Amino acid sequence: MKRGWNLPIWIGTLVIVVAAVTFVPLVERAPDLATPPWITLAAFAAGLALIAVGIARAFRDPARHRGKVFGPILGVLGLAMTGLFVFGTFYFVRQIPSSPDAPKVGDRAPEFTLADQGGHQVSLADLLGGRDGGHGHGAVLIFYRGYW
Amino acid sequence: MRRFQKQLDDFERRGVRVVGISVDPPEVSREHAGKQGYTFTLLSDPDAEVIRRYGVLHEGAAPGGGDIARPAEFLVDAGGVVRWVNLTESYAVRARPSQALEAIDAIPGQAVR
Repeated sequence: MKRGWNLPIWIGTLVIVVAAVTFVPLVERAPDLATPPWITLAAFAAGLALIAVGIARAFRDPARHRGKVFGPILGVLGLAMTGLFVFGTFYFVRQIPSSPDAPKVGDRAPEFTLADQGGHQVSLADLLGGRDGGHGHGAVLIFYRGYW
Repeated sequence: MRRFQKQLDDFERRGVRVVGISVDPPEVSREHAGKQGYTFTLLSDPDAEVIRRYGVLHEGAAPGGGDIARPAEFLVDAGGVVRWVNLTESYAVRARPSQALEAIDAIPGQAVR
C-alpha cells in the first residue's frame, strides 16, 4: 500500500513559517501593540496543533502515513520558532529599566549642554529660548538607544 | 523618532523644538539623520552624563557592554518645567507625537494662534 505524505505536518510547518514572516509587516501596519497580534499567536498555535495531529497519525498508523522521522524534526523546529517568538515578543521587548529617578511632571528639567551632529554646543536653555534668539515654547527631548 | 519627524511641522508651528539625545558621537548622528531623513537636532552624550542626570540610563545595554539611554521622552516648557513624561515599558510600544502635542496644548498660555 502506498503511504501518504501526511499533509497536516507540512501544512502546519507552512502555517508557522507564514505566521513568522507576516509578523513584521503586520506590526508595521498596527504598531504599539503591547502583545503581538492575536492572529499571529493563533497561527503559531494552529501550526503546532496540525503538526501534532500529523505526528500522532504517523506513529499510530505508519503503514498509511509517513512522518515518523520528519514529523518530530519539523515539530521540534516549529516549537523552537514558537518559543523564540514568544520569548522575543513577551519577554525580550520588556527588558527596559524602570527609571524611578527620571524627572516627573512638575519637576525642573536638569540643565545640560551637548554637541549636536554638527559639533556645535547646544544647551537646554538654547532649546527652550527658541532658535536664533526667537521666543521658544519648549522642547521635546527624545532619549534613544543610538546606533553607536 | 520617525513619527516625530513626520509630524515635525506640528511641533514647529507651536514653537517647540524636537531633539534626540543618545550616546552616539556627532558623526554617527549625522550619518543616521541623513539615512533616516531626520531634520531635527540630534545631541551627543558620549559619556551618558546627561542620560544619567535624567535617570534614563540603561546600564550595559550596548553590544559591547557600554551604558546607553533607554527610550524616554520629556516635554519641557519654556520655563524649564517638565510637562509630560513617557517611559515605555516595551520596545514595541513607543511615544506617539499626538501625546506630546496634546500635552503642549494643555500648557496654560501655550495655546497660541
